[in-house]
Amino acid sequence: MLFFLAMVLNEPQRSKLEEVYHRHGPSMYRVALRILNDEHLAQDALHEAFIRISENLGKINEVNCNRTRAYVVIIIRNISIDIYRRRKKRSGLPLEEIEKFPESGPSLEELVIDNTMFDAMVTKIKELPAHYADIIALKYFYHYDYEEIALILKISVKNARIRMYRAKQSLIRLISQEQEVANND
Amino acid sequence: MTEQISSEYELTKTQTKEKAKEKMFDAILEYAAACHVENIIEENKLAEEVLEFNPSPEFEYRMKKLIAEHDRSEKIKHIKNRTLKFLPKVAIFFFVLIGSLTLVIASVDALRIRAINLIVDIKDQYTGFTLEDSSDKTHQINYQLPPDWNGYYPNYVPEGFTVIGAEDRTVLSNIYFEDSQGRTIRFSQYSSTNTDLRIDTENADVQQILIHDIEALLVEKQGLVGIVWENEYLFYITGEADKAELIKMAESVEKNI
Repeated sequence: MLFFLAMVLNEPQRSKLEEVYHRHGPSMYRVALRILNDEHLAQDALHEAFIRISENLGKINEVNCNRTRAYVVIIIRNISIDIYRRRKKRSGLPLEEIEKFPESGPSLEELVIDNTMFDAMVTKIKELPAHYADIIALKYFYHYDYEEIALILKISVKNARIRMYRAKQSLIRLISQEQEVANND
Repeated sequence: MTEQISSEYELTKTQTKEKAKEKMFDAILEYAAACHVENIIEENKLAEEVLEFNPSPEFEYRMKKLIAEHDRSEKIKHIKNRTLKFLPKVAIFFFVLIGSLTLVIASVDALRIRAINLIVDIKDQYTGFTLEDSSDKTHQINYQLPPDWNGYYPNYVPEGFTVIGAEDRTVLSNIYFEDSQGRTIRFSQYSSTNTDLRIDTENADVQQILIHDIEALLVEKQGLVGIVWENEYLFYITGEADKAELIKMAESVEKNI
């Protein structure tokens, strides 16, 4: 029993969630404030973000690293966008329903994969709607499956798949547009 | 046949190309994802220099509460997991410990007596008796007592019963009787004041009776009758005989002078 108690008491003084809050809370708040432009709403978004982080805390291995920094920003940004959309009361429909499906654009075959494309990617990805870029990052940088992504973004697995499909289409279109401009020049 | 091979080859070629395309696109997406994460980090660095974070006290309280709740549930989970992890080891430890103690108790006389005395006190299954001072009187003997017998003896035994054996030890003296049908009666005298006697009273018919105005306990279970009482020593008569006969036998116990 003593051995057992000793193990429990040997827990680190500051919990991982608290560490994440102290290390990344301020920058997360700034991201939320930039989107919502309201201190109270930004704090609500931050609180909501930490509820979500606490549910997925196992995905954070190291608190103080860029990988975690980007991860928490993705979470707060998506929450802030959701709050913003709810405030705007555009519609009661989820994001996937209200967005126009991209017109059938260029296909993958039409892309010219060369150095120019890779150089342009850093800037072109910024033009992609944030929720599309974020889902690509969650899938292809953090390598989460659709169930995990759905849990992080609080959307259904079906919506996660739809969003990913649209994100890919949008990215292809952006890159091909860039290539078209380059060809015309 | 040649056409079939040719179409299969075309199919495989197309599938391979499709897979390669998928891989290429996945690579592009991985690159895009890395660029996006890089951009987030860069933007974040810039933003850190511009804005300050001064949360309201209410917000700080909400966050502290959230973190505390999370930590508590994590701790409970942690304890649960550790308990589940160590429980089999603890169970094995206690199993080995109890096994070893049982062996020790079973093999060492002093410990065995102590353990038995402990069990006697569990009233549901056994009834304990302790000796106190007292005295008794009797009538005539209707059987042959061992010549060197130096303790109490029943002056009366049910008809047909004869002595088949006797033992006189420091603590306990027994006289064994048997009749022609093979039924037995045992008369026991516990000479030590430290002696405890166990009688199985679980699911038995137990009643209080008087043996020469002394309280006694009569226990009947599965055709076996037992009477226990104290009178200077602790006495116990048990056997497969009529209850009234055994009571009569108990009342006849007297000291051999």
